[in-house]
Amino acid sequence: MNTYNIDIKPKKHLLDINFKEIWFYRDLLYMFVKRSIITVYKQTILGPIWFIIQPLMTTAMYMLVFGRIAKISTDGLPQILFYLSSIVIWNYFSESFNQTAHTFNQNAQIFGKVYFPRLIIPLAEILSGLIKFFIQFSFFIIIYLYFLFIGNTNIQPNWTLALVPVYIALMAGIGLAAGLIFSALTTKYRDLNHLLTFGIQLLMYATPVIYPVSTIPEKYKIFILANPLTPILEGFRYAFLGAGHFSWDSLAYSGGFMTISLFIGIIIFHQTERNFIDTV
Amino acid sequence: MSQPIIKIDNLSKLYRLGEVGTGTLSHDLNRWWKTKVLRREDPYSIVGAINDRTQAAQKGEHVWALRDINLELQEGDVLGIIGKNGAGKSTLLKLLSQITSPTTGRIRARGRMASLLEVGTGFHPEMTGRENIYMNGTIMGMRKREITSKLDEIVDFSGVAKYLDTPVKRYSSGMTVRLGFAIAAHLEPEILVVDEVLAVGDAEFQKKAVGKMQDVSKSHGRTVLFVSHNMAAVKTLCKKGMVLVNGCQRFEGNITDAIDFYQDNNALVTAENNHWEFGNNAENDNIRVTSIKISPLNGTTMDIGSGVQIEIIFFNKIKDITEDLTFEIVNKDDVLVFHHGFVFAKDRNSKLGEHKITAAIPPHLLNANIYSMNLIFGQSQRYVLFRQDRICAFEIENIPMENNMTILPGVVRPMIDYSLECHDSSTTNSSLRIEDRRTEPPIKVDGFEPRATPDSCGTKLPSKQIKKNTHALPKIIDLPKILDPRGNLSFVESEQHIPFAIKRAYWIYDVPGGEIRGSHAFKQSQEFIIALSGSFEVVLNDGLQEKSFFLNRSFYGLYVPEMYWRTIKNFSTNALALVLASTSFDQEDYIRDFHQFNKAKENV
Repeated sequence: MNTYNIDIKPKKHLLDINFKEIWFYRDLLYMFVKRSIITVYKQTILGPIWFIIQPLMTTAMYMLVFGRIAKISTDGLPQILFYLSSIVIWNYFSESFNQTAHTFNQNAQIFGKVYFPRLIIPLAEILSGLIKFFIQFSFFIIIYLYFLFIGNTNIQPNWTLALVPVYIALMAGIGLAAGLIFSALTTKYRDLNHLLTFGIQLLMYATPVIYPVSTIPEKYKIFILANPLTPILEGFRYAFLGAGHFSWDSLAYSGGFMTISLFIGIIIFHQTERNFIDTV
Repeated sequence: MSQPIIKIDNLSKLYRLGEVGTGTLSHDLNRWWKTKVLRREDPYSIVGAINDRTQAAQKGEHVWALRDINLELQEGDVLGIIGKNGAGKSTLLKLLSQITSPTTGRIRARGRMASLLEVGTGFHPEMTGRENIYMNGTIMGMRKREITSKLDEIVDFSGVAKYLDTPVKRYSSGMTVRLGFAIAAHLEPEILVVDEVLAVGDAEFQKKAVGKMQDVSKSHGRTVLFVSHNMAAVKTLCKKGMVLVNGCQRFEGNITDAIDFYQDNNALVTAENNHWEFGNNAENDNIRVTSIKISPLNGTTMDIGSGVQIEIIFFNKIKDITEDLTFEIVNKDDVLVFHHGFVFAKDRNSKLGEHKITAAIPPHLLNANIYSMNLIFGQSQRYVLFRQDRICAFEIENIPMENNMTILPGVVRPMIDYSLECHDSSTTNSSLRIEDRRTEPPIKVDGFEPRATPDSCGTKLPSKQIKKNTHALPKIIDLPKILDPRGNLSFVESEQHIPFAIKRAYWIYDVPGGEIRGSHAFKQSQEFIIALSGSFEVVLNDGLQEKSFFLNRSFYGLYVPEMYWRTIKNFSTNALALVLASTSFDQEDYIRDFHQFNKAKENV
């Protein structure tokens, strides 16, 4: 009779990831998501409205700085829709990246005391980010519908709207992958923590968030297009607003990038979680 | 024997000492290159270094926190893991609970394993008690519906029902711990790993917690691994024991043997005649402890009544600081009996060189037990300059009390004076019988009448004093023969011989060493002192002159009026004084300061 279900060994195989165990801990995943959502607005007056205020204020600021002062083109679209759509999807990425990158450092206290599949934490961050995203996204939809039916604009929603869930999944996947790799490295090399905040900021300028791809000079275009986030932002805006461009090739490029980076991310993360408590 | 529920084979864990972080990238690349590509040994591992914390760490040294642990546990076993701080207990628990992974070896286990290294892991202060029960429960591996079904039980056990929908940040720390433990107690794992979480919480809760753990192991046949410094808790809870020393498994077996093994191996140096010479064993940059000598304060045997003299010789290496020496006395059950310090160098005047401190633990303080001493040197009562736990150990022997040979329970065994008031339950109103009597005149029985015997002990107070003192004089009063060898006190009951109604009776015994006892005066209370056994001297002072009365076990007693400074001394062996007083105990009635007594006398 050899029915040992727990087997602790010094080295695990690179791909020995117990997805069954993660499924067993799904209630914990739910609790972590709930925790991060409800603790944000405990003891606040406006509560979940804060989720909306943030993109709204950012949009207003972009309209002022990039639209009015710098006069950056928005492909002839209403500025509020252009910026808001970009900010909503970009925020999801940056939130996911930022939150998952701190997995080990912020949860060292819990990780040092109890075992559960560590992957639960980044997954919970992605899911709670998704809830925040949907709140902001609904807000965007309301404004979008207003412009679609009442505003006198050239918005052209098209069939690629069906791909919006794919875009969201890609954003989540790439954010998670980047966060996993980062979190694993920061346990040992804390320098990366300093890099993270402004790194995300810089990445935003390297991604067509505040400008459309069409405004980029031809000789730099190759760099912007090499960014796997570019097709997602462009595609997202194209689906709702009809400006910009869409191609299956670039979408496949993003998808491929996500798959590979997520694979690497999970492996690195998994290798780190076993001993990180000794080095943290 | 059936298949063990936990099987640990050759388990080891290596830690890198020193600062981790800077320069690790180059180390990592170097190690990866040497071990993985060139297939050589890890250049940074010093193989065989054992975890001895007293030796200073070399740079980049690696240390085995655990070395070759082998263990098999059957279902229902309760194992206590004991060892000094740093022996590897916590590392073992961390490996078992999969918080970190071993360097070599393997752990296999069957069933669900829950580890309780902390109570209330994952509690979020902003969330309510109820939300946190779910949070903590799921972290421990429970399913939501499982928690829902046990919610009432958990709330009941924790006793925080009233605050269930209050954020945990408003809880007292005790409530938080109780809630945390209640959740843990309702996990139903096959294997439970528990760290010293019981050290927190109040005594009642600790009892409840230990009880729950016993319940879990006994009635449900679960396997428990329990790590603790608290030998008493380990003893009650565990059947098996394992002793870890410097990361190595030194003993495994029956819990009583394990505790004995641990304690025998714990004192730093075992010495002949309680005299320890340390050489270089107890030294650091600040202090070198040369020797410690422990001897009885009085007499030749170290027992409850002898007191303990501690003589510490040390060499001080720092000058011009404020320095103190503190010692802690810990008993066999790891209970800290007391912690006491002396600031031996005040106002930054410490000196270099050899010092000798002699300290005395008074008699009738420590109960019969084996004690070990923690020695701590500190600066400004704030920083630790030197610390050595269990630097030496000594034993206090029992002295029988009232012919009872067994050692009395308890940590301390003080000598306690007491007084007795007798309520007569045969009368319908339960008032003091003695008080009732007070209104009646004393009944005279043949031949015995209170009378003064001016010279039975050759004592007579001078006439000058008689003039000044308008109140009664002390006198010796005859008593009926005390026939019973144990001291039949029927004459006290009959109250015929004592010139006042007795409201209180108490005993005073001697303290070894011929101590002076009962030195005070009463404003209101008169007393009658009888030697029930042995002999002693009662010294009375009326503010002008001292007079001594020698009492032994015979047929008279000493009457002491109020406002006499009374001292009892020169007790013979086993002397026992019975004191009968005319008033019941009243703090206000005492004059404990001789100057105050003199002042009060002058006013009269």
